[in-house]
Amino acid sequence: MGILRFIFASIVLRFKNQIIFRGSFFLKFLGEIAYIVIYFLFFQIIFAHTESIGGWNKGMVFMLIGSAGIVFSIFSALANAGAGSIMHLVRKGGIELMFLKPLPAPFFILFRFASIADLLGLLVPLSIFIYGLRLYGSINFIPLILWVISILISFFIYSSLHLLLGLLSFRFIRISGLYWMLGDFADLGKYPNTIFPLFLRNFLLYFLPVLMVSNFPVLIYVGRFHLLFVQIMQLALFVILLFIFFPIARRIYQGAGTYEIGA
Amino acid sequence: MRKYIEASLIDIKISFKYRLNLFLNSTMLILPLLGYTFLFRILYTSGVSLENYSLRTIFTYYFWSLLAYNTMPVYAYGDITHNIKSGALSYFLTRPMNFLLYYYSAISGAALIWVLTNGIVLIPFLYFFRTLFVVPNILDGMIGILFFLLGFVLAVLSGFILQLTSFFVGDPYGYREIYGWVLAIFGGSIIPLDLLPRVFLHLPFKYFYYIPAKAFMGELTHIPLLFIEVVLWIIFFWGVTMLIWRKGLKKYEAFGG
Repeated sequence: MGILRFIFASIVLRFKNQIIFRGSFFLKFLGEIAYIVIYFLFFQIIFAHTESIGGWNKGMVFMLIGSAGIVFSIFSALANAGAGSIMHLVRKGGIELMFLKPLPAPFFILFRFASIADLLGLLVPLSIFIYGLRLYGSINFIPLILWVISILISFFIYSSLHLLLGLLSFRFIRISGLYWMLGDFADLGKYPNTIFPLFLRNFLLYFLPVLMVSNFPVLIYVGRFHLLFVQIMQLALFVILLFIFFPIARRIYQGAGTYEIGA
Repeated sequence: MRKYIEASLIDIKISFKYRLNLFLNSTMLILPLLGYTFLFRILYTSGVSLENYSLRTIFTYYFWSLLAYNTMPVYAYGDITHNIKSGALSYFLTRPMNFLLYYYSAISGAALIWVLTNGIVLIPFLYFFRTLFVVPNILDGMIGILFFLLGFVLAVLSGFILQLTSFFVGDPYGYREIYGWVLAIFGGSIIPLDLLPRVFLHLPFKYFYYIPAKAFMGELTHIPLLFIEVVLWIIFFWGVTMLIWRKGLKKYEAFGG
């Protein structure tokens, strides 16, 4: 309950801060949705020449672009800045303050820059998802509920992955290159998993699950309900890994710098 | 001149200080290229074709355009904004040094390293996909390098314009992302411009990624005309940069010591 209260308070504070710079916020918002619009156009051009991509029809592909956009937009709005801040906290010595809070430190770090205003960015991928849904043909209530659950699990899987990666900064300090790399891998999430060779597909589905978080919600919607169980197992694995590695990382940690306000 | 060469060398040294980050950054090239490769491979094996592109030419196009995308400094240097906002610009103004030329040299040094590291990372990748890559002949290679260098100058000037707007708006962060996406689509790094409406081929952004890629592929026609056009665009962008720089300096204020 404390965590929820904290997340809510963070969101309200951040929102107040953002609306001071409305112009900048609006342009940033446009920038964030631009990539989804561009890939929407890209796949429109592709589908002018074909009926399906690797067994995925046009409706499913647009549901995929929409779903991937939704998961990454939620992450970007609520957890991206927080997850990315771990290495700065380690480097500038601010991480000790996080340990002192009466909340689990990983969650505190993850959600400390949560921004509800950035959730506006969901409108575009949601529209693309609905467009794909209508092309697909049938809108069913139960699969839609399962899709929503799958999207939420995808968000938590992707956030946990960032947290796990962030733990490396306790040892190596500067790991921004790894975050860029993860972002580049996540960009592959807009493709149907079937286009990739088996080894790479499995790697991106289960080890670095960027395809799982984007593809599975759609596959669950179209009837492969057992994949929801796979997603839950994946999330459970990541949470267990966090519980194992976070205390280890904390033991390894040595102040790498001097505390800087705002770190 | 020596101080500007020194600026290049300093940036090369800075790049090497974070070697791992430098190599990890090259995934910006490899991973999108992998995505396009597998996507088009599955499309072409199922009998689909895109206008005049074969699987080999589309792979080669994305290879060159993404290499340009990963190397062209379209954001110039974030330090320019930082210097203007923090007042550190005064250090440059009180020394016998051209601020923009200094950053042009620094960016050139860094870009040289980006090309080299990307090249190293690309060798095993190209070997793996060697059957898909169309190797340019010497003449096409030279024309490609020429247009790549001209595109580079245009990209730096475009980046300068972006960063120098901080004289007026404080921080270009708000529109930095949208600027990047506009250049990516209008420049041809996401979709080849000849697959889009013809209007895209009349904009200067084609010189960032599309024209260098097509030059390396030996598919450019009217090369002298394109050369004159890009030089005129460079002069125009340089004029705009100078205008913003002069207007900006008149507006510039720095506080503190």
